[in-house]
Amino acid sequence: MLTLENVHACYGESRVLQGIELAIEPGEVVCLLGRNGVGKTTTLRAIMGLTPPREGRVLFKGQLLNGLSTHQIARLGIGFVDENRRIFPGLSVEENLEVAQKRLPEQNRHWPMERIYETFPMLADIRHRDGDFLSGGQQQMLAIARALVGEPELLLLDEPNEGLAPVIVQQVGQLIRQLAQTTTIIFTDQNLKFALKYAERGYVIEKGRVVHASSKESFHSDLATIEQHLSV
Amino acid sequence: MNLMTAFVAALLNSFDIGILLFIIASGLTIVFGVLGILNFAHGALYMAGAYFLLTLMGTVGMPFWVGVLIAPLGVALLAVLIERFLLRRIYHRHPSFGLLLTFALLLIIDDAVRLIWGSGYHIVEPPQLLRGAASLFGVTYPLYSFFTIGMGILIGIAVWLIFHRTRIGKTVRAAALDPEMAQAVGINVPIVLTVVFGFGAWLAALGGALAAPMRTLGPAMGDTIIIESFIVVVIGGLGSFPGALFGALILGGIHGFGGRWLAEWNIVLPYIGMALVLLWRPEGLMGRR
Ligand SMILES: Nc1ncnc2c1ncn2[C@@H]1O[C@H](COP(=O)(O)OP(=O)(O)O)[C@@H](O)[C@H]1O
Ligand SMILES: [Mg+2]
Repeated sequence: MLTLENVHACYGESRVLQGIELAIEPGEVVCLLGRNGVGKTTTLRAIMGLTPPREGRVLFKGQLLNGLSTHQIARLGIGFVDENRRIFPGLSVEENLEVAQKRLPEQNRHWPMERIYETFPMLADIRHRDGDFLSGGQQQMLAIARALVGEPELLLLDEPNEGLAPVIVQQVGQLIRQLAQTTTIIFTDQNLKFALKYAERGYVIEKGRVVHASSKESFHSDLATIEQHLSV
Repeated sequence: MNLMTAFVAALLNSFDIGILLFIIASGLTIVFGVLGILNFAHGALYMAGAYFLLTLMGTVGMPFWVGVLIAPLGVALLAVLIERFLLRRIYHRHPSFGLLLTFALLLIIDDAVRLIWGSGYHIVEPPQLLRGAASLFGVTYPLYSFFTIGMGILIGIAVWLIFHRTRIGKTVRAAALDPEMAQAVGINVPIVLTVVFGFGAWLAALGGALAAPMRTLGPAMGDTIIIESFIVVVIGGLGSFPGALFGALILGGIHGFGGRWLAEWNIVLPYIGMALVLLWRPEGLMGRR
């Protein structure tokens, strides 16, 4: 589904990713773990072409993404949920969804508006509210819904549970579980707890490199190693 | 003339000037709001609209009604090329690059007009249908002015509907608010920028074509209008579409009423108005933050 080979990326002169290697199979739910500042966000940005790789290759369903612009990558079927959600302020909830909707004949959509509002009932109630006036949980749900109307086969969620009330975190987790039935998912996290509950396996990133990769089988038995990387 | 008719006449003058300024300044403010570029060449594009119409009606022999549709489209096409080959290179640079580049464009377009049409003055005749005058509350006023006022109102409504009721308009707003996130949800932002710059130029040129029958065409006609448009957007708030309407009507009012009752102050009044707004609300009446 998605392969990163020796991906390097920089902000100005500082090389933030130093040879990331990932291999994600269709249908997996994978977590990128790592402390603050290790390069989780930048890895997702490199996939989206927002911080284009300086070196290495990104392949999605066998197609090379290097050199494509971000909107092309999104339209190939990758949905991106930014860690800051970045709802378009001044646009209503519904308008935020409308501008992100993939141009498709209505009957070919997996995520027509009605299904979005069924899946996210809390958004249905506030569909005309301005994006400026949403709670953190509402923003997160809208950000995920906005990625879904782009009809992604792969969903990238950057710290989906960060700064949210426990109830909402649980909802986000349930949602990941539900979406995982039809969509490949990569999410990032700083803590193991949520990842262990909702991901099938994980990669640990440190200083822009993958320092540990768990298989599905070993994910729950690798805890000590992973925890060691995440502490300190 | 009693006070009532004087008032109506001043009001009509205000709208006559203000609505035209609104068409032009809305293009300026939309381009700034979306591209982040304060287009010094906006007045030159206004002028190009008027001269294109002159040639379409004169040399080509088109009727006014066809020319007024085609001239702005021609200028918009020119603007699309300017955006693709010049503006696009400087978005990621310091804002001063945008000022320098569009100022250079202003000089180039001004000189191109002198080269092609000469430095003399030209006149565009209004269409047969709109010659003469009409009467409103005892004030006779040129029929053509009623036409431009009506057109301006229609254009204002149309632009508002485009931005708030169509997907394209909402997409433009999203791209203006957060271009990076817009790209990430699949919006082709570079195309949006091209279209918006072309649209802004279209509004400027439409203003020029509509103004042509009321004003003399000369190579300096863009310079006064760009200064007035800057005043409008500073008063209204840079990047704000409703601000362009308010700013234009206020400036129109200053000209319309000031011209009648404070004639000796008329040249400085717009600047006094602008200074007061800047002191009171530096972001403009409808500006953000
Ligand atoms: N826009 C930026 N400009 C410069 N450095 C950045 C920028 N964004 C992130 N960094 C740096 O890159 C490193 C990795 O950041 P990031 O990918 O955001 O980490 P994470 O998501 O794992 O917390 C950090 O050291 C951070 O300071
Ligand atoms: Mg991060």
